[in-house]
Amino acid sequence: MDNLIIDRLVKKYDKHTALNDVSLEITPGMYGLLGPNGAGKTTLMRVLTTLLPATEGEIRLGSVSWKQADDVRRITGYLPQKFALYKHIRVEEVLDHVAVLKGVGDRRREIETILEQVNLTEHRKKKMGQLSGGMVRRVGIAQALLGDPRLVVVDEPTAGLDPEERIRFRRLLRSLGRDKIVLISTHIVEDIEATCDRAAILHKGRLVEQGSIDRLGGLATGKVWVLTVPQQDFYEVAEAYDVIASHRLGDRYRLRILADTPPPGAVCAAPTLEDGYLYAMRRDAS
Amino acid sequence: MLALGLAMVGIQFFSRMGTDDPGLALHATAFIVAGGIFVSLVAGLALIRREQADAAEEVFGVLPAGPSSKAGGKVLALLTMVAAFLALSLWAVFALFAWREVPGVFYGRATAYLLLYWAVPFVIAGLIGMAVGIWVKSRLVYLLFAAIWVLIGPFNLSLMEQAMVTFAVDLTAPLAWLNLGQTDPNAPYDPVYGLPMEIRRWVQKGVWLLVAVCLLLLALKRRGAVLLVPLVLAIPLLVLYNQESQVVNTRYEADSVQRNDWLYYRDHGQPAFAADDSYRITAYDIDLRTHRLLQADVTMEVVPERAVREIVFTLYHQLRVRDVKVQGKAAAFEQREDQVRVTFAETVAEGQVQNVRVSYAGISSPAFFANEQAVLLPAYFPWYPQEGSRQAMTLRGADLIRNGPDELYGQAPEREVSYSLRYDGPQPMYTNLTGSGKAPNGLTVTAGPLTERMVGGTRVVLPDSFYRGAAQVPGFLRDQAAYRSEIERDLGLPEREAASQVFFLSVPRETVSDPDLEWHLGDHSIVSVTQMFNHGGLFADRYLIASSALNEAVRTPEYLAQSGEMRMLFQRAYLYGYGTRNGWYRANDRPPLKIVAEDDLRVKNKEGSENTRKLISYLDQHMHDRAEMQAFFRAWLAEMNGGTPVDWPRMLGLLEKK
Amino acid sequence: MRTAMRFDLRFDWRVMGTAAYVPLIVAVVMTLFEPLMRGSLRQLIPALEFIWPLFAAWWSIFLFQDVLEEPGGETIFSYPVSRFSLGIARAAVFFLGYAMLTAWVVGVIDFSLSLFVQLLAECYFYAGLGFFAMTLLRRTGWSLSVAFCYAGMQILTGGKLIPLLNVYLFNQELLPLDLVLQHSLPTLVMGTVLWGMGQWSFQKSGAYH
Repeated sequence: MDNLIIDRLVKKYDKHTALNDVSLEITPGMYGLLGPNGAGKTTLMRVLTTLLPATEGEIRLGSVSWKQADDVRRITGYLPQKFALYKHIRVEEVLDHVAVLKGVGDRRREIETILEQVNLTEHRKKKMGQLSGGMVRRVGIAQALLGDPRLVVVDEPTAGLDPEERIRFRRLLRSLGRDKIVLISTHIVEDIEATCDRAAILHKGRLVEQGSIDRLGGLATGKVWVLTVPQQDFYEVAEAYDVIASHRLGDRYRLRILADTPPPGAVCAAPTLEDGYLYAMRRDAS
Repeated sequence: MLALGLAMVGIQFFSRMGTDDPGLALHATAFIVAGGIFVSLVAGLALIRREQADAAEEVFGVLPAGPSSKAGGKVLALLTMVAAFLALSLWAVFALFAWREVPGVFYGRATAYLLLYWAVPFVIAGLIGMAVGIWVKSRLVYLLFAAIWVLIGPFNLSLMEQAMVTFAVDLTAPLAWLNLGQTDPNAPYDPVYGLPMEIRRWVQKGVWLLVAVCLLLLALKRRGAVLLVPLVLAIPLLVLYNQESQVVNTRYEADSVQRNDWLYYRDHGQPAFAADDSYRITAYDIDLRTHRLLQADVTMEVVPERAVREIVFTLYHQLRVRDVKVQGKAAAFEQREDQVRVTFAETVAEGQVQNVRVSYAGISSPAFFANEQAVLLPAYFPWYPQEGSRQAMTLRGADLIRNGPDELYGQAPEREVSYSLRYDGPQPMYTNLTGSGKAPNGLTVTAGPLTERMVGGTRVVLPDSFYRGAAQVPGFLRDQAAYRSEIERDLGLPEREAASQVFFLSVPRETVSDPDLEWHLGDHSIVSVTQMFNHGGLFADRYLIASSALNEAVRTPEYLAQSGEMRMLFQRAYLYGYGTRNGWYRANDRPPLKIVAEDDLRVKNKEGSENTRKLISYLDQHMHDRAEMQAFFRAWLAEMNGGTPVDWPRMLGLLEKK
Repeated sequence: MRTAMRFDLRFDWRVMGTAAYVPLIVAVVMTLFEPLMRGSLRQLIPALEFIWPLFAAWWSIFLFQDVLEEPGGETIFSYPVSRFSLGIARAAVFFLGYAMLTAWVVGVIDFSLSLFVQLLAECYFYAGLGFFAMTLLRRTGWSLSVAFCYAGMQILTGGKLIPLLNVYLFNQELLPLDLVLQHSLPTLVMGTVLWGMGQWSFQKSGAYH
């Protein structure tokens, strides 16, 4: 399977640059895109799905160039952050319609397969408006998978889902990564950690970091400290240091702190992806 | 949408202001009202569904008083949008007014008008849109909007007209009630009545506003006291709405200017009581009030000319007499048609002055209105009890002729009557009464958007919307006097002095054929004008002025009984001669008489065309022979006043006698 | 490989929901006018002219409600279907349906080729107006407002406010075909411009929810 090559991608809207010289090489499997709101994740999603044209740069997936939008649409599937179409149409009819638009050959069989894959077979006769949030997202993934795309782009996959639905959805996404490039864009770090092997961090349209999950987490090596403080000192310490997480333990707080130098009494901790992400953001901001 | 709307406002006013008719510029904005109502319905829907679109409605649903606060905020947003549109529109209107030098009074009127016909309907529509948007979740909401738009828009009457005819049902009242916009988008602006902003229209909008608020509260599932408040407030407004009041309608409503009197006098052509010349009235004391309708208490000094037991006087039928007192005691009376018969307690001797007090109230004629907005009560219209027994108007074919008191046809005042007037109504008010308190041919009262000025020694009362036309009034008066004088001399009519007061009022035309511009009433005259006189050269149109002076000079019941064709022929023939003598026509001009001949030829009326050519030929031959012309036209006029119809052979016989 | 032109008209009809039936209901109502007005063309023709073309904008607007107004409509643009197919082609197919309805309405009332041509040209204009409004404004309500405001403006001013943009003939009797064709030409030109601008707007559209 080919890699997705994004080479010096730029996207400008009048005077605002949404993507600034972004270059990535994405191998088949699960790939995460992390970044705060306004980082350019959705813009990148839309450029990849040909909803927006790039201002500069190149994108290729094997022999398919993004200069030929029609070819790209044949090999991509897309699930945007908001997907609430066709509320009064049944699930199977929606998927059939998408299959028609995608030019799928044996529509019936493919829809059956995908409904099974996303675990919606018993809900196929329901109208879209009758489904829960998680089910709607699953229908979204199903329509993205129709036509067996090589590249699946999912924007904010678990937004609005309850914990159980979130776990289920992550499992589903993981299963897709076997033979496709699945690119998920989110600001929920746990989603990336749970599903992806590699990720990139975007900030203000620029690529800040990229690499394996371990490597990205490792950015914060030696910068993460754990400190336990009494309850009455909590606020004072929180104001003095960059506390990225806190847990209450009886009458004490265990704080996770991001700092170049250790706070007095703090113990160095192994960094997680979230720590690495936050560290990269702080560093880029400064 | 805002930009588009303002563009329409600009185009509309820019195109209309070119004719110096600010009233029509405002009144012809029915299409903006229609569009604005639909846009407001959609805006209301968009406002109420905003949280749905953002999936945030549940967030506000759990806040204390969240939904009602949100709803209140949306209503404020709606009000803000409407206020912003109104403000920007007014800015555009004022800028155009300033450019065309429209008088300052129109700025306030424009503001009130746009408030009544734009702002309030848009708010009402927006509230309805919000309520419907809550109730109806599906896409059918737009079809509902289309139906609502048809019902409450300014063309609901046009669209339902055929249905009314087909099913023989009169829905004008409920449709008028539903209509939030202009009742008659195509009506010209009446310079005396002004913009239609009667109390009843404001009350209608007020009730609608409360109904819309109720609908919204119901949609928000509010009950109890909150819902009762608008319902309770609506009750006094409904009572106010249903009170008798005059609203001048201009379409095909039964009480409209076109139909009200036409229908009545079609079926009531004759007075109920025989002519009564047994008395004369020497003095009037009139207490006139015109708030929403005409109310009056009139005390007359009645002098019997012989012994009488009962007298009949003329009063417009819609003014219903409540009571009559003679010498302070209640007297029997009967009111039928346009007459009131009063029976004295006992026979009254000749010369025994009786104090007769009549109290009455009602809706005046739509052509001669009297309400809180304007008053137009000319002396020849029996708005107060007048001597004799006559119908106020007579229908002849398509013409609705006003029957003035007999003295008018005599063209000379016989005697002067004293008047004392107390008035409570719109201001400023003008009458023909001067310091002497006497008038020879009745009392004219007019009030509303008028102004007065002195032109030479003549007092002129004219609409304040004649800010350009007023400059042409001196020339008009001069020409009119000159033409009248020559006409009277040519036709051997008694010469009258020009009136010392001239009222330019929007009196409707009586006939379709005669240029009935003027009524000469001795001490004052009334000139019929439209707003078009403010722009262009109507005041300087010598043909119009001369033909009107001619028509006024020869007007008698016998003359009016002649066919419209013969009356027009007489006028055109006289003015052909007059105009040619005075150099009105250039070489290639086609005077109206020649156009008649050509038109007859075109429609293959050979005989008519030939006859007209004979007449033209005669006139061409003799028009410089003043004596000949005078003799001819005097003979013709005598025929017209002879009491029998004059046709072509009789008229041509006059040529042959020459 | 060129992107295919694909239609799923049955689905497009169902997605419009009950709104899809509105033009059909209006068509039936129009045919009821004839007995109501006792066959009087003086009343019928203005009624037809004022109501029927306006609803030609209905399908042009509601066809695109999900694609342009609902969240997630951008998904459809990611499919291998040309914007031409998704846009003007679909609208044109539904306009053809409306043209057939027009023929039926005119045929039931009093078939006259000149009346059919007159109404068809006006319907073409309104369908284009609805299409362009929807692709530009991306809101059903505002797009309908544009159509209704245009109708109100022209009808209530007799076409005199901006004569250049007027499509109505305001006739009360059947006109000769050549006269109708002559008057309909500017209407067709304006309609074509609107259709073209609608597709241009749809093609260029890059603003998503």
